[in-house]
Amino acid sequence: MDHLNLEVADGEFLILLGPSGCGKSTALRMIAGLDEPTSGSILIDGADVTSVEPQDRNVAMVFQSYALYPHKTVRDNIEFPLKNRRVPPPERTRRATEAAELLGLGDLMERRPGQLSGGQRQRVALARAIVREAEVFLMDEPLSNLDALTRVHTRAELTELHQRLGVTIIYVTHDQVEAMTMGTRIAVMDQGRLQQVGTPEEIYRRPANQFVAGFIGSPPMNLLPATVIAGHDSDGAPTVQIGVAPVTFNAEQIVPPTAPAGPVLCGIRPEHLHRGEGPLKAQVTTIESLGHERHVHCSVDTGQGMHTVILREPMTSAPPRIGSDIHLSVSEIHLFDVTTGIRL
Amino acid sequence: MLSFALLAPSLAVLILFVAYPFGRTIWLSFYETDPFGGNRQFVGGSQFLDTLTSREFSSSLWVTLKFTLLTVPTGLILGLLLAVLAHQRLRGMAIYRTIFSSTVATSVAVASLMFLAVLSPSVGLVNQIIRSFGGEPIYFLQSTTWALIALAAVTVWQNLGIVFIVTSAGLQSLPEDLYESARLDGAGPIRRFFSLTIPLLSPTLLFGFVVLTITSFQTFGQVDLLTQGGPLRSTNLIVYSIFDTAFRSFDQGRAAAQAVVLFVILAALSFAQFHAAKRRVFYGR
Repeated sequence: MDHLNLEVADGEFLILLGPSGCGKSTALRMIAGLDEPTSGSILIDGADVTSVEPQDRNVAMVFQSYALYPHKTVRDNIEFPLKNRRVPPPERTRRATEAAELLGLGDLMERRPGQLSGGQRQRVALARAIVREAEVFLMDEPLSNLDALTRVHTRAELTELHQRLGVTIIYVTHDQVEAMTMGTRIAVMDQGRLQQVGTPEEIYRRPANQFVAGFIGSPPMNLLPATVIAGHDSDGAPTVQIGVAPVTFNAEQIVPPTAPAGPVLCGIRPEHLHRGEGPLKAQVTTIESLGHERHVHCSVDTGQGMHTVILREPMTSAPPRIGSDIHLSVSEIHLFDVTTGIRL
Repeated sequence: MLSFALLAPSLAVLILFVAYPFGRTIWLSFYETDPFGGNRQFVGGSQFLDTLTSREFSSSLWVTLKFTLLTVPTGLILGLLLAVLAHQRLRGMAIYRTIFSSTVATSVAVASLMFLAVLSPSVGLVNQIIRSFGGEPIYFLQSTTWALIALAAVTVWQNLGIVFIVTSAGLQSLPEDLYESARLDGAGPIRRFFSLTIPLLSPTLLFGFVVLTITSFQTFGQVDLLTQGGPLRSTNLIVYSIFDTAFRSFDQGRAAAQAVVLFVILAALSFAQFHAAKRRVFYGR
């Protein structure tokens, strides 16, 4: 971790997103108290908890493996944190039953984790966290062990649960679909550093740097070497040259609308590349049909070698032929500093 | 045919060293022999009756039971505690692990000689400590009160290595995130030990319990080297008693009958242990 400075609002659903090894789980474990930061401090509700033991932080955690006690029944698993806190048995039973009912586990209370499906285990782990009535819920990739269908259902259930309980959730994932659909804000991390924090829309529409641009979006943003020929033409629109093709944009198409002349990294979302009349020449190399849309992989000569770009188009249009030459128009581009990768 | 050929070497060893001696012992238990093992006479089950009604045999059985009660729980608890200590992530722990498991590589003879020196009334370390506190030296191996305890100490020390290795392996297979989750759930070290470690390690502990029980019933070397069953038969463990019957009293048929009775007792005991532990041992589902 390197100088992570992040504030999470009360009741927020914050997603820590990044590739494997980026430090997101380490950050979560430090909030939980399972790992100790070498410097800096962690505050919960204004109180410094940096050197407070995990059990005294009032945080609940759902692990990737669910970490259910395999020899205990669902009821005993849910009641375990209450038992440790010496909650009287009648209240313990009441709270465990309430949490189980909330998550639809009422009929499974006497089963052991080994007798449950992945989705049910995940719900038991959630119930065990809920029953604590903790200030912060930490979730470390809790959906990654579920099959695709269960994951979609559980994603929706988690969002609904957050809305119903109004609790603060910090959720770690490397899955951008989870991040985009569930989070009120997303914190994108890479190599132990925070890259950008913002709403899912902000992160997608205005990526702070080359890493966020390339990480968010599926397929990711196309990044091509380009040159800004002139800051503005007579109409105030800049001209960007990709390879041999100068492309002129109006102020609404280019983000940001001004840029200094010189080499840049040009980012184009797949949905902002269109087949038809346009200045960019490309050759179709691969076509992926997803049922509802098509991803067309093309090869573009940028003047600095051949680069692959992907464009996304609806299935209603006729597919191009593999190997054919096509022309591409661009409806929106993002410019990044060629050395630092930071958005211009 | 190929499968039989591949199994043949193992089968040959099994037949030669397990099945044949086992069958031969059962067969011999129905015969009375002269001191040289010859001149056999079929006597039916009379030697079993003699064994079961013999005061000598029941006294040996009682001594062996006391010995088992002294060695098995102590060995298991000490081995587990050492394994839990060595499981901590501390610097130099590998050295302790090597030391704790080293008793596995020590033979009964070496262990017995070491304890002979340690328990010696004149120069032994234990008696020197007792003397330094103003006490009278204890004749551990010559006292009817202490001899069985001294033998148990040698056995516990020798079993420590295997219990340590088995429980250490068991501890290493326990998922770390369960303990992290328990910490977040507010469980302290003692609660974690009794609520997680013991139940999750229960198959390993049951294995250790059964194996130690069987080996304690089969103890021979320590008795032969340190006490020869004395004083006053206070350490006359059952296998030593069988050896005594076969090779000192030269009554091989009767010794065979005693060995068969011991086999039945051990089989019944192991079955009872597994059956009794069925509800308490967690096998992962």
